[in-house]
Amino acid sequence: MRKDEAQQIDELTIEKNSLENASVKEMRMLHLGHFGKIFSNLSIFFTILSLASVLTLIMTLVLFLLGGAVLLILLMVIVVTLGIIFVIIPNYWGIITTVANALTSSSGYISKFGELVVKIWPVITPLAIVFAGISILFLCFDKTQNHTIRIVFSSVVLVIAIIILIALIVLLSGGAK
Amino acid sequence: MNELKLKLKGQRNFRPTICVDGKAVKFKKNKFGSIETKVATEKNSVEITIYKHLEIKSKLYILWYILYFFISIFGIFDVREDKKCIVYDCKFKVELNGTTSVDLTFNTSKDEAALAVESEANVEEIKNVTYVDQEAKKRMKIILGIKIALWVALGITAITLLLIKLI
Repeated sequence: MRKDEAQQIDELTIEKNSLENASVKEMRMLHLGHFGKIFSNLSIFFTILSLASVLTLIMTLVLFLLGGAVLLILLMVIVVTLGIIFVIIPNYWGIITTVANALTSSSGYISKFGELVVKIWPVITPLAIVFAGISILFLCFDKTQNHTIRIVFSSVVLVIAIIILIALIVLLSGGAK
Repeated sequence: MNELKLKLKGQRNFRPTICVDGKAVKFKKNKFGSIETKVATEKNSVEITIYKHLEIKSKLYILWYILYFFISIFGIFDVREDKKCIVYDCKFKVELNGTTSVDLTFNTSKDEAALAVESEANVEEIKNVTYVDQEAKKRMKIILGIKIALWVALGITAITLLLIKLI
């Protein structure tokens, strides 16, 4: 009788221990999943920030080039019309001065913005890549929830962040030359 | 040698922990979205335990949630918590005779039992309930209080620093 009772208690203890082990494992997975989701959100934010900096840099460069082209055309008009343009449009020199001033101020803005981008991109873009990578890893380990959509989304973010990093390296190294 | 074929259907976003005779078993997802497993045993009956844990029920939950708060940049990038705090707690005893199939389906209705059991074998229902964990709800409120306190502390620190800079 006592032997049976002891065996029953042993079996119960083993079951309790294995259940506790299972719950500890599940808790670890839940924490990993939570961290994965936070890192996924952070990677999305940093990728958007990197994308915005790249797009703004490209847009300001395009505007600067367009402004330069307009100025060149305005100067060419003087040569082509042999100065008659000053008679047709009396305020022509004023227009040229305005365009030139806008270009000077925009070049100052570009250099300032360029400095800012150069300062922050080595931090934010690699951070976006690291966060996306960590989130994918953590979410893959969490078996308590279905994270397929988030894993796919983080993978897309990872690819975009890598493309941004390459684009920034190309843009900034091109600018340095 | 007996074999238990266990299939779990109707689980939405979560994957519950399933133990057969106290041991957690690994499941495979089939093409229809349900999960299934096969367990071989010498015993004539096995006990199936199914439960879903809540993260907030972990031992060091305050520390974990403070860590989440800081890593997610003061909770800005944190995940929205499931405030329902619903727990599944199910236990069945299945009599085995050769190969035995047991199909378990999660019920969506609140009034019904947690799982609907389909099997040709004799299945004894020991526990089959879903309930709102009141302790988890209480812990949720504690976490919310801590978060608010941390936000207030952060706000006061920021204002103090700003004033020091201005003066």
